[in-house]
Amino acid sequence: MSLTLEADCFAKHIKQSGVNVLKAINYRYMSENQEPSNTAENQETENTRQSYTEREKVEIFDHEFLPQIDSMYNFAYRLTYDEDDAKDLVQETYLKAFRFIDSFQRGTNAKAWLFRILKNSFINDFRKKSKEPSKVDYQEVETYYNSEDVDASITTDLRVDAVQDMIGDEVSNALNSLAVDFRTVIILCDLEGFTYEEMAKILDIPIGTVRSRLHRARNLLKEKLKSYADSMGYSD
Amino acid sequence: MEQLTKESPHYKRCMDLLPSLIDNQASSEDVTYFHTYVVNWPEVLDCYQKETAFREAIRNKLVMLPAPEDLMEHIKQSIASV
Repeated sequence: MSLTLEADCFAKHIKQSGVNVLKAINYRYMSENQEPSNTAENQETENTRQSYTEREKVEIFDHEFLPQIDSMYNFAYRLTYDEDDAKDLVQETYLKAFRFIDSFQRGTNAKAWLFRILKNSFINDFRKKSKEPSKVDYQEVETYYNSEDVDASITTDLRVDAVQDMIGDEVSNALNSLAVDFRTVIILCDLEGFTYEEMAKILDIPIGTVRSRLHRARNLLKEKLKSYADSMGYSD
Repeated sequence: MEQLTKESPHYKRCMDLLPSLIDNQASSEDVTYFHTYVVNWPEVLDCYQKETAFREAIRNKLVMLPAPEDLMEHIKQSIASV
């Protein structure tokens, strides 16, 4: 028994939901090659804009934004792998959040709102500076999900006890070796517990793409971990 | 209760729910439904258990990194000067 059942289910879901991968690719291309007109702050501003008093702004900032600092730093660190860059990214995110605080609607999901700003800041500023050539090959993903034998080829079985015997660094290294887009969905879903819908908003992608990217990311992670498990003497 | 085959509509529904369950995104009704019927297909249950165990193992290994102690202070100072 392998995990092909899940893959089969995803393949069916993708076909049923009619996810147009090309649209996602085009959207991604546009968002990376134009000025960031779709940043969280701009898009939110177009919707409903509040008019908070200075006191209310401080209250929101202190009680809704700052409590997210550990999650924000954790996300930033796993995107940048560098403590100083992570600190700068979090600080920049909070400054933007304060500047655009009137775009935030009280009582809504502050964590998702902040994560979205952080993710956009990373894409627009930090990733341009870094040398990391880790963009996802969407052509490859598209080909993959359009292929008929998706269920037969995508899955990688991995013994859980092999993972349990690994140290955290080995799992972290495997995660870090994934392209940033794949790494991000695992962090958002498995570590931060965001829903598909929240992830779709944070990442500006359709829910179907969230699901397929998550599935692909998990299998890539398993492949990385499996290589390590094999070297430790585990076998299926 | 009679064993259901894979031709049963419940099988398709369970398979559709599987990814959401594994990702902890399913509603409590869907979770209940899944566990009510999945006993008919041990291989599906096995897949579900393996995958959830994998997620749990990964989650346990990837510890949360707390923000440095001085970061919040820096942020507050930056905001105060805006």
